[in-house]
Amino acid sequence: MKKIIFLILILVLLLLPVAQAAPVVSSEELFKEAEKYDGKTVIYRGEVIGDIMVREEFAWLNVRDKSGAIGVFCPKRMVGEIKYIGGYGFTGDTVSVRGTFHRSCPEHGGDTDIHAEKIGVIQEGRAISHPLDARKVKASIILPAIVFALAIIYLIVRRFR
Amino acid sequence: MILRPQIQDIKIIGQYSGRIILGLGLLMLIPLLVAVCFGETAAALDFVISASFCLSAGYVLIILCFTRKELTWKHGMVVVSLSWLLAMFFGAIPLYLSRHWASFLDACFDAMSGFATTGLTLVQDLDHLSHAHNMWRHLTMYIGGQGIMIVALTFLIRGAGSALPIYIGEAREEKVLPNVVQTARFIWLVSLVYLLMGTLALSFTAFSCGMPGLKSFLHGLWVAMAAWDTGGFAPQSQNILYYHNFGFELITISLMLLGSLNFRLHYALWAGKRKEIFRNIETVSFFISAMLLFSLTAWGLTCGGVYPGALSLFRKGFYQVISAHTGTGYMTIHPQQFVRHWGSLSLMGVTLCMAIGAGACSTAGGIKILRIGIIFRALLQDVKRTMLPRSAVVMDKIHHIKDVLLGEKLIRQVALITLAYIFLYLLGTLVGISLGYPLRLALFESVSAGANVGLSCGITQPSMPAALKLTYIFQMWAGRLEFVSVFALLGTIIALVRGK
Repeated sequence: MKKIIFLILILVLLLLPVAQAAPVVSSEELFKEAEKYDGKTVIYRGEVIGDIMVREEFAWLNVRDKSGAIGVFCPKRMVGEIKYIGGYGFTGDTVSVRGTFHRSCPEHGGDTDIHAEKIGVIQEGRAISHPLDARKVKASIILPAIVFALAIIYLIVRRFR
Repeated sequence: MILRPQIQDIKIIGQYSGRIILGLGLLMLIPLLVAVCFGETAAALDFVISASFCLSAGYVLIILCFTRKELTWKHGMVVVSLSWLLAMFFGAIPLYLSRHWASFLDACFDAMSGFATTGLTLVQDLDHLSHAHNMWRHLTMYIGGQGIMIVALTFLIRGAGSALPIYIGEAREEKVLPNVVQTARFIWLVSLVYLLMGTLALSFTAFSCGMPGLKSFLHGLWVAMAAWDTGGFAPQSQNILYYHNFGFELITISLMLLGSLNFRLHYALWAGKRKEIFRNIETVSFFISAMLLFSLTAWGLTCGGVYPGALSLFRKGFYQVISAHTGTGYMTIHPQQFVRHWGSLSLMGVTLCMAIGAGACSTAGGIKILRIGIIFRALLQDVKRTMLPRSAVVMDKIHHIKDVLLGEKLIRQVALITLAYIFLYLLGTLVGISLGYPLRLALFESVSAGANVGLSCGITQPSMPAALKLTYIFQMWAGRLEFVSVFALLGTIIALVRGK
């Protein structure tokens, strides 16, 4: 009997953090059910895009998932792990942000944001290659030649008419 | 009897339209240069192809329609409205080639939105778009804000006879200076000075809020272009919210307000007549309207407990009101928040701001505050008349740079254009409702398109029906040109088909 109680206790202790874990939410859920998540701890996952904007001891980063992007405010030390930021040349690191969601943050002029407690990179970003389309290469040789020919014809027409 | 246009008429229209397309092709060399500078080879090819396509089409039109005859009033109007459609078509090519737009129609939508300084967008994955394509998007706003025809008048078209009809055709009834070409040059001077000041202020602010140097400059330049021209495109999907910076918001508010001022008022201010800003019917009406509608919006937001304090109310409520009233469409909230958090009263406040718009002969769209001011004064005049004896003569005046008599002809003109705008707003709303969107959202988005604002409550997205995309394109085009030249083009098409 003691063994069973001991096992149950161990199981409860193991499951307790899982039961209390913050919900994983998308930006769509955050906008749709902003009242529900306001002031709550959430986990939000997405790609870091644009820039990491360091401001004194803190930083702003913008994290985007399939349905939208949201601002994440955090201490500067938390962004050290992030290598790639999404833009034309790169897919940014995919991060998991655990933090408090604010529908209208009183500290940041009413912004909808997340104040991060923990940021972890779950997938490293990479450089995006933009291969040249053979048809576009051909067109960009032929079309300027046509323009040149037409410009000459125009000059002739203007002179003789 | 309708007279069918002669070959000579078509030649004149083709000749001038060709020149406009040629100019557009030359402008594409700017994003091409950006692509080369940033090593964006794939984007550079898009612009080589697009520029070549424009230049070829332009030359073909000029050669085929070669004539030395000058434009008449009728031709000018048709050239204006046709050129805007051609600019949309050719301007959409580099966007479509980037593969960030799902279809050519979507690219046309964004090109018209750019040229008409609306700001509604169907771009996909904006955050990964090249610098070159971003430069082109913002450049379309900068060209469209001043007016495609103003570019043409400055660089491509000679002869004062040709100038006036195409200047008027682009929804500019008022001349700043006696000569139209001089007026066009003054408009460019003012625009370049404010672009320079705006770029410096925004770049410095972006840099000080943690963005790298070169990128700060590019973002500063693009946002200054779109804010001054009351456009609303931004280089990131979160729009102005991306920057999380109060200073940045204050500078964009200033630029939006400057862009929404009548160029005649700019001229008066530059000439040292500072008192004009306190006397002019436009500025006075704008101040009253903005304050009343902000109060309405703020009342709605406060009742709903949407924002926690005065600063939030300013950064969200006031910003959106000014953005809507100036016809810009910059946002410091997410589009979904309009629907989910703002409530009907605040949404109505912003919708009214969009519908009214800002200064005539400015970069803003909408009915225009001058017309609202005139209608209001005419109403007061009528009330006065009913209270006085029948024999009394009531003649009111308005102050707009100089004192102007409030005559029946002026009131009639103003009322007709206002009515046309109301019909335009209703058209988009009806199409929206018939496609299954709720009334208040359909009205909001329709007014935003028709008044060339660009605020969105979420209807405008790539998945919306093609019929609605076409309706919004028509609204943006007709709203920007203020109807007259659009009617001239429609009339010419009818005459071509049914004329004798």
